[in-house]
Amino acid sequence: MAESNDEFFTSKHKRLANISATANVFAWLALVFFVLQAVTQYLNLTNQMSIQAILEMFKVSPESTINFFLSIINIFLKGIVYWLMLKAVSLGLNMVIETDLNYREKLQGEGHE
Amino acid sequence: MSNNLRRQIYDNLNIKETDELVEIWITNDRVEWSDVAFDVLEEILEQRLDKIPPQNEPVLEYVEQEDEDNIPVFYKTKEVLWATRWLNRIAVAAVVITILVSISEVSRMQRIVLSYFMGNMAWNVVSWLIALVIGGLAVALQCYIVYFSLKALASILTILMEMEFNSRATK
Repeated sequence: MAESNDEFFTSKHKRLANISATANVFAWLALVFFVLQAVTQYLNLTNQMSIQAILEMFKVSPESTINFFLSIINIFLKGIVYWLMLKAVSLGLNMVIETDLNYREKLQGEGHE
Repeated sequence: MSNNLRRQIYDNLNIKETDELVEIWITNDRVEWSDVAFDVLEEILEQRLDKIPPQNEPVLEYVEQEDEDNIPVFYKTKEVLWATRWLNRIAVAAVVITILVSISEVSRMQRIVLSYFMGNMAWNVVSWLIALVIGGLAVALQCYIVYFSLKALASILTILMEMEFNSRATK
């Protein structure tokens, strides 16, 4: 993979930019997936039981009801964690590209002087 | 109503040091402080000082400090700051949720441990202790991994932004 010195935005930058874009896309996919999973789990319960029955279940066994809702929150939080992590990776890679290009620009400027 | 507000502002400002009030007065930030606040401030300073110092030109809006030519192309600074802030918040939330979810798992683990003792209820307390120790260690490890990964990521973002900013300054 030949790279000329004049080439400013190199193939390595492109590769990093692609990985960053992919991470960004996957961040949103992960968020949608986990939110859907949480919603599905909630709907699954409400399809099986009415709100009245859920309240009854809470009176009989508060522990299992709380556990159920905690597990939904856990799934939702997992989605947010993955989303934030992938977003951070994407931003981090973009900053690496920006930093490298800044230094290259500086070097190029010094070369012309 | 307006007198009440004025009184409230007066009370709030009056507890501040004179130096701090003088700084607010001189800075003349009309975005952060209302006109009423400056009226009250003048009143307090008149009581405390012989002569009130002159004010700077009023700050009516915050001007973006970033140089137009120096704005990064590949990312938005605000987005990084936002992500860093939320990574720190979610790190704490993740620890709380992990602990809450794990509490419910302890009783299940206790039943598993008790089954090793053939369900003998004499070993009930021991099985609870074992379950609590193992569960506690597992939760601690899980919390450690989640919390520090998110915190590390937030720090890495901040460091990278600083590095990028320094590379701009060297241009």
